[in-house]
Amino acid sequence: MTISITVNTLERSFDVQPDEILLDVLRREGYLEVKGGCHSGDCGACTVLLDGRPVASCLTLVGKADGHAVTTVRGIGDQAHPHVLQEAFVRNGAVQCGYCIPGAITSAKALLDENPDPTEEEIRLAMDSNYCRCTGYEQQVEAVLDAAAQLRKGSTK
Amino acid sequence: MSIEKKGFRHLTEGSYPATHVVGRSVDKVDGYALVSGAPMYTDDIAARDFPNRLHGRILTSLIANGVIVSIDTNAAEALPGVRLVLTWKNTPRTFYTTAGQGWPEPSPYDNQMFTERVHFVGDRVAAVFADSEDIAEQALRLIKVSFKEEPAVLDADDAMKPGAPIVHPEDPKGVYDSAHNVAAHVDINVGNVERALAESEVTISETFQTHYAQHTPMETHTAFAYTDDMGKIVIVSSTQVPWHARRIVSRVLGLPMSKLRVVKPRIGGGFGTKQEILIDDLVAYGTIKTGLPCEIELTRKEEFISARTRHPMKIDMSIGSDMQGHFRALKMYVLSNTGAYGSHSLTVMSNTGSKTLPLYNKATDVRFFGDAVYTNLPVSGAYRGYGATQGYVALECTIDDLAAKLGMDPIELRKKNMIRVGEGSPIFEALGEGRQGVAQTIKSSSLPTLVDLGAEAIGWIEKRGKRVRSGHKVRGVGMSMHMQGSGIPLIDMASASIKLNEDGSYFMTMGATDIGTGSDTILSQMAAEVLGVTMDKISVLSSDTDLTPFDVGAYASSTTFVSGGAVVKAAKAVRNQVFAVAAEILHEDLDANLVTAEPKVEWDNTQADPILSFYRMEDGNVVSVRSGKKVSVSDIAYRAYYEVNQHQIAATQSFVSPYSPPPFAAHFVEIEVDELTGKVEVLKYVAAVDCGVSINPDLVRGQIMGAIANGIGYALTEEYHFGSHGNMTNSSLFDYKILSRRDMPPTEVIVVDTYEPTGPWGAKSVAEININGAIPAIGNAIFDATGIRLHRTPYTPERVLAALRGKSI
Amino acid sequence: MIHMIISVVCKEARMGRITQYYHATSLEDAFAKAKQLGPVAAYVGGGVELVLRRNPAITTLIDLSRCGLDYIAAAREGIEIGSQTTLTTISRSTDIRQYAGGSLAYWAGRIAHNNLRDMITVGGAIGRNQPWNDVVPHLVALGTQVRLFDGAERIMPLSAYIEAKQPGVIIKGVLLPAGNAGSRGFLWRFTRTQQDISMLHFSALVSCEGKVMTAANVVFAGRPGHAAVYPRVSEELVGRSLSHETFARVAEMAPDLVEVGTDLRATGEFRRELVRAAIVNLEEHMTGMVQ
Repeated sequence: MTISITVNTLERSFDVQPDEILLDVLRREGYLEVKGGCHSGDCGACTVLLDGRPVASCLTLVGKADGHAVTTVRGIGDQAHPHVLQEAFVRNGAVQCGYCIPGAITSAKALLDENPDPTEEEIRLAMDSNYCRCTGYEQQVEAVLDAAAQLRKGSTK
Repeated sequence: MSIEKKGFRHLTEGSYPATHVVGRSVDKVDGYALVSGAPMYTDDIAARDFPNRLHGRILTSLIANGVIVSIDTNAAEALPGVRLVLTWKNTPRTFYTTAGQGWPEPSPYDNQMFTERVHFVGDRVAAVFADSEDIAEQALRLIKVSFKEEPAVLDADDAMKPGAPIVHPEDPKGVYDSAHNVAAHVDINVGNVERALAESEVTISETFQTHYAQHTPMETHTAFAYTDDMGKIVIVSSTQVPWHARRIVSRVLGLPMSKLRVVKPRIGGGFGTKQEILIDDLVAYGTIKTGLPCEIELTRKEEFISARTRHPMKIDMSIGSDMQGHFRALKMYVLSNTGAYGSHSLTVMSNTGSKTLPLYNKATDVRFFGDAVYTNLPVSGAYRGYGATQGYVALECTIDDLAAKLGMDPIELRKKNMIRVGEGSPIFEALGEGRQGVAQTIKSSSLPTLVDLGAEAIGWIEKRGKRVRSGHKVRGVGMSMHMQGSGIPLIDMASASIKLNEDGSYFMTMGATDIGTGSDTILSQMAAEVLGVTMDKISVLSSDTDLTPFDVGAYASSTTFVSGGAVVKAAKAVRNQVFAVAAEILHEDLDANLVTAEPKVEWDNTQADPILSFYRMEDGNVVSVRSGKKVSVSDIAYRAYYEVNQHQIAATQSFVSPYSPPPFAAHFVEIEVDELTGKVEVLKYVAAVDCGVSINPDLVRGQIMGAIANGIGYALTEEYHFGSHGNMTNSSLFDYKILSRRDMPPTEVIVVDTYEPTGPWGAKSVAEININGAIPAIGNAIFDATGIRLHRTPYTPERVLAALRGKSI
Repeated sequence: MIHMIISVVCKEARMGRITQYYHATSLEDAFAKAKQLGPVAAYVGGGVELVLRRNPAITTLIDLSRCGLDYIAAAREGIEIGSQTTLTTISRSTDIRQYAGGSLAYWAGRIAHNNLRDMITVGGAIGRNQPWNDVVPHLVALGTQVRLFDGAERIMPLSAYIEAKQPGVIIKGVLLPAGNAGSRGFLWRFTRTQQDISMLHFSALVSCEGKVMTAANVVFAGRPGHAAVYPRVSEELVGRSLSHETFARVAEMAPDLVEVGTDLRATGEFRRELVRAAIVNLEEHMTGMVQ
């Protein structure tokens, strides 16, 4: 079937099977920034925003995204124009192997969009899908606090 | 000097050369790429560059031990879209070890691509390459296999008993004693431990049992292979060991190394499970046979069942001491469960003693011995800590129990016996990794400071022995102390090449394998420091067996120390060549011997490099010490490449060290035990660490925090469950519980840098050591809170509750 | 924790080779389509469990997300929650935060993990009712009614519905009864890590007049069985005072009253201990005093 999804603000049309999952379709269509770690909704690596809300793309039937907006981490920022969050992750030593990072930043973005001044507990809760085996999480929490502070000060995106 | 960030303190002991980029928390060189999800991992590259690739899936055994009586692949092969089906009948029969270790590998050659036997639930039976994963999956179901199931060894305690099933009846090369399922054996004696124990005023003997655990890297094992335009087989692999992979695949497939290239792209974590040649052989062979690119990505379930794990060990620990707590005798026996194959069986077991017992070098008589046995269970291999983690469970818990017996504070007992600067231990020489070891003397250690600062941070004096109660919850504190190593002395070798570009920037290639640890970054820092430039002037390429010089790979905490050594030498050699051209330009004399002398890694505080009396690097210029004149490095390059006495300014250098200076750590925890449920909650975790000089403090902190998170999971929540026939029953992240973001306790990291004179810029290592602390510190804290000593891990609520209720554990 | 979103059309509706993905425009439309297709069709809410546990018998998916079932509305009878409402939406609703002490809102924002909380729908949770589900037992304890549609609309207690599910009906939504708004909801769950399903789930709704308990709904789940109500335990609380003696007695007898079993995650014997711990934790919550 043909579906239409607005991916990172660009309206796209995809030919898909009705039982495909969003993760596979996105990667097949070149959105390789969305990573797969378990294909069972346990690890959070595949997190994308669906109408601004974080979802596990490995558990999302592609038909559910039909007519909706999907944001991947590249829709948040890229190397040429990194988002404040992405800069904060780099600056705070929050990135090691990087595999959990697209999903983690996506969850963090959803949080900051709604809660510009989160507590540490709120940050951990809003990112609890995103397993990380490298960093022990602490510097990632600091990165989100740092980014939130920057954004409140009026840092440009 | 100290830097304070919430939860992180960075202190130094001693004096250091002033640096401009080493010691700074610079951004990771790949940081911005990774935060935008750049397609740099193996499957990304495969998907982007080889959309026509074949997808491989592996058929694995459902029985733990037996023979493949018949295997019929006709139906699978006939399925449209299937391009290749592999079994023992049509693949090379070479025996090898999957262990990514230096040659000659100290692990038994007990593996074949496919065999007529299966040795564990999850062992390879067949493989299919097809146009899509779906088709490959369907084809697996069409393969008709009939097994003759045989009795299996499902418990390490049974492996050596008379009449036990023999896991490897084919008696592979390198196995210590196949008939008794002993893959490896070790027995090291210093003095006479039995006599020393007999003569000790106080002795204590305990047995501890550790469990199966998995690394769970966020990216599972992934590899693909293709044939390049010149007919070379290229393997792109999520691996920690590209050179070992090339050597082993070359041998297994009978493919000359000149026809094989292994590339490590960005990988999503390793922690030791990727120090293994697990699927590289399959993708390479698939490409050879089909002519098409072939990829395999292990599923998360396969990662648990068929990849690698941590060796479960049963350790008998005895200590003999006098009434004042001076150790006389240390005796450690290890029964290590290496699973169905012996990769890393000897070396992990050796490390269990070699990285633990020297910490208490005051003991005069030591015996370390052990057997690594085969079982028909998942295969153990390299896992961060590499045997030391298990060894410290036994050692650190027994020491605390001895302290209780002596009526001494556990910290005081350790201080009386711990190794200090200037001291050595006969174990260093007696016990290496597989071979005899190398004598070592401690040249740097802030361990006494680590212990004191950590004790203060946890509130040791205020809390120890107090058993503060809040209803049905009771608190305790515990600690543990550790050393590890920095590379394998006289075995691990690294190399680096650096060349100068005309604009004064440099390009560096090194074999060193960045597995997410940030080695590309810190090695760039080291080069930038020697060359007197900023980070943006260094670009790097690493871990390509064709394009970069050799490196053993990322393991044994070797990258900072050994690979760093090579980088420092290469940078110095290039710097000296630049000085030589500067001297020409300035018409000044410079002794050619100074330029071409073998560069030293060690940066002696009191005796600078002789050439620096003549020239030094400063902000992209060479400054003459004699005349004060400056020449820009860029001008030097243009002259050398285009104008006069043209030659390439470049150098390749290698480093192998007779030293493996240990990092040190002291870990402290405060816990609360819920007597209703047995749940242990870590209220606070303090890790005090000496890694030598921290080349990049943020990355050091990240290594420590990640290791602690993994250690706590290993202590409290992570374990393999097995069914009745050796089958793992919780092979998913749903039921194999690693620490989530909400589980991390408030953690304080205190890094106390020391200057290691044998290391590049004074550095040692930090990668493994901090995973060792959680089990013993928490076990000791549980003892403080409840008076109960647990001998089995993990300390799950059910296990703790049973112990509290008086059932034996 | 993985929740199931749906399929009540066929007993174990899962999903395999799907050939049609149909967006229903209303409840009536969805029901008519399902009736027409029979057992090869399955409803989709969030779709999570459809992906996790594929059933080759299903060829058509009927998506309910455009049927106007995503709502939270305060009415005279109580709070209506549409079946397509997600856990995140529930956790943020002011009305639900004020209901029965806010326990449903609090826990809806903490169970599972963040990228599932925006996918798990209340209808899906009820429809699938996995034994480790944390939503259904708490709703049952709150006295929730479930609104069903099978051509016509009807309502029944959720506790009865999960005992005898009705093939063919669509779950339209649930009603949190106004009468329970002033009682105190309580949830205690025992997990391995904080991102986990429950080894034992305990939910209760207690009403008090002064220091005396006037009503108590008690539900245990994850035993490893499904949510079940325990009137026998409630009996021991109703009419009693909020005293340590009351709860100590209940903590003593409750392990014998709750059926627990052994699975991969815990033994029955350990779950008995957890039952006791659940009551102790209820006491601490109700009396504000650590035990």
